[in-house]
Amino acid sequence: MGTQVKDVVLKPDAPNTLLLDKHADYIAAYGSKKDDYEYTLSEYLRMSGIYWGLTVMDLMGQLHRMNRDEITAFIRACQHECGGISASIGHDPHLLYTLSTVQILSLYDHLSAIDVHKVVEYVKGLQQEDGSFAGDKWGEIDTRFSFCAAATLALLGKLDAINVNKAVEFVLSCMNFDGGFGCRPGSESHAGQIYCCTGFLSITGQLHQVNADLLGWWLCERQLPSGGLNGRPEKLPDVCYSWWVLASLKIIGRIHWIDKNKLRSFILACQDEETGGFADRPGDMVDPFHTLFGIAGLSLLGDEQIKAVNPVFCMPEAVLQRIGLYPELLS
Amino acid sequence: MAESEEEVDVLVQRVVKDINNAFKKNPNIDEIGLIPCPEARYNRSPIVLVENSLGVESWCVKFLLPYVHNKLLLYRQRREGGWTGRRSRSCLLFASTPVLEGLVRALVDITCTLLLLNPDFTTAWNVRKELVQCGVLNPERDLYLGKLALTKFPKSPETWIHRRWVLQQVLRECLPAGGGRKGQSEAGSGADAEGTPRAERLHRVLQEEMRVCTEAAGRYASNYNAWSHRIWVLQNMGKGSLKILHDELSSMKLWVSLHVSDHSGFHYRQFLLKAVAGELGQAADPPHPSPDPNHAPQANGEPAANGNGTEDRQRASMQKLFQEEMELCTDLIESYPGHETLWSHR
Repeated sequence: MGTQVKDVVLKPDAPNTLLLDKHADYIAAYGSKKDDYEYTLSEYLRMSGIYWGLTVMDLMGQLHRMNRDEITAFIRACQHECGGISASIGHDPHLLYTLSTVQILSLYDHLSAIDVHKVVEYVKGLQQEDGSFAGDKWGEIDTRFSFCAAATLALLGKLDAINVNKAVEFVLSCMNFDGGFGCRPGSESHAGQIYCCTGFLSITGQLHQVNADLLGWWLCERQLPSGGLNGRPEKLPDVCYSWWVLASLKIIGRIHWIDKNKLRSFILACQDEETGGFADRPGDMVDPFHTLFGIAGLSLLGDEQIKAVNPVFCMPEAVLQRIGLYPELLS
Repeated sequence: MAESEEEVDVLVQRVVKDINNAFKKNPNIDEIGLIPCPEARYNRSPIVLVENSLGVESWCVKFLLPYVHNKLLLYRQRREGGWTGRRSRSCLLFASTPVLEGLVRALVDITCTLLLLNPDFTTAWNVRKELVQCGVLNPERDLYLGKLALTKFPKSPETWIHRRWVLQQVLRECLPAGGGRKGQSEAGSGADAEGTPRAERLHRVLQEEMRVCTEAAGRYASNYNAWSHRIWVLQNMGKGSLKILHDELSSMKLWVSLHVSDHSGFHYRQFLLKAVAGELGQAADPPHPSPDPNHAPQANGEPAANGNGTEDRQRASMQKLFQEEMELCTDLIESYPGHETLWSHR
């Protein structure tokens, strides 16, 4: 008796064309349901939610449909005395939302809306002696935060504010024998963490320290018979891993190692034909998070209806070109 | 439902009270859950206590959550004046006046309800961190709330993150007084050896932490946060103890055999094996005292014999461990064919 592979089966009537207009309508309407119970439930990550929504709109060429003034005013109210930025008004500042804010303002080319100097001081202050970064003043350490710190400062052109060598040393100490990376030294490899660590090494120009063939192999093994990608062995496929795995492969120059057509079919099947938006798997509820990573994944796969996305920052290439930021990619 | 705002307020305040009374009535509640129930039933509280399980009827959540959510943010914004901004002594002082005692009580109750419904609400955990810091919230009490939240949301990253912070507070409290001063601790490992209240507390907290991790790992397969937390606990609370590592290896043997596709569980075994190898390597190095005087020699099971044979013996015991691991792996692969996890482990 064989063991059932953890995967999904794509139905023959699953969507197989890209429903761009529907997705733009879905995102444009999302913020207007502010009294929603669901909206309250997700307030603790609002700033990242706005980044997901705006980035996907920009990739679809629809950024003008979002309310720039309202968002800018909101952002201003979220910067704290310490320089850090919170997910929403009245919440506590954190590196995660500080990066989201800097990404949003980079899309809008409007960094002057916040006190940039204070942001730099905030990020700098979170670096620890061993080079790692805490997410906020309470001290949790995670390689995700190393990425947030480096990406924030790179977008501000201030990467030299931190001890880059030490930061690199810490990230490399989280590398495992399978070539992947975990959240801290000794922790299991995870596609999301791998994205953060390869992204971090790209920003800091240290990709030669990665064993690209070994890591590329591990990443390719994330592709399942349905075409979808999972984040770790024997997990279900999920659209957001289309981004994290695919972007990591792009960064280390091994994107041609997976079956692009099958992945495209999987991502398209995760669209909701009625409401617009993407879900984690076919038939599930859609949300802005999976909508961004579905669209961004299709962009990496070369879909020409979508603007080219940068694999490190998950922002339109055109925005990074305007800033003059060209993170390293392996070939 | 056409409740007025006032009616909702009254209702919700009663529910928050019911929840906190349930905890008073049964301090052993060990599980929380949502009871699917779209409509309110006549004149009955939506809070249901059955044995050690606390249930909330789903109809009330859409009133309850926004209420406690807004209430907390209101307190938070008022605080900008600084109610716990000032550290330690002033905190204790403020807790002793009746008005502020009431405020602390309210914050504990509100964050409790809020976090049981939405455990990734970072700021609510931060409020509790401040309360712990001020000495008005017991760390173990706070760990208990997290444990309950994990029964419903076993992955919740913020709950795990908060736990690590609280555990660090416990660790700090358990350090010998004036932990920085070398002279005292050098007097001998007897100063704070096993059997003292501090060592017992630390041991109790560590054991409880392992139980919480196992429970969460059982509720959600390949639970990354639970397993990386478990690794963190060993790295930070079980330093240098071969006994703990060996206990973990043997208790995990059954667990992984019952969860052959749990990649995280197997990764944890790999971590344990590497840690044992590291400790043995260090023990074989005679001039280095063990990093943790509380545990090492006696916990080792063998008095640290530093003779020439030590290194060989360490190598032999390591070889035996790896051989056993390969046998376990072979058995499982033959019994449960087709699991990627088992092959990765091999």
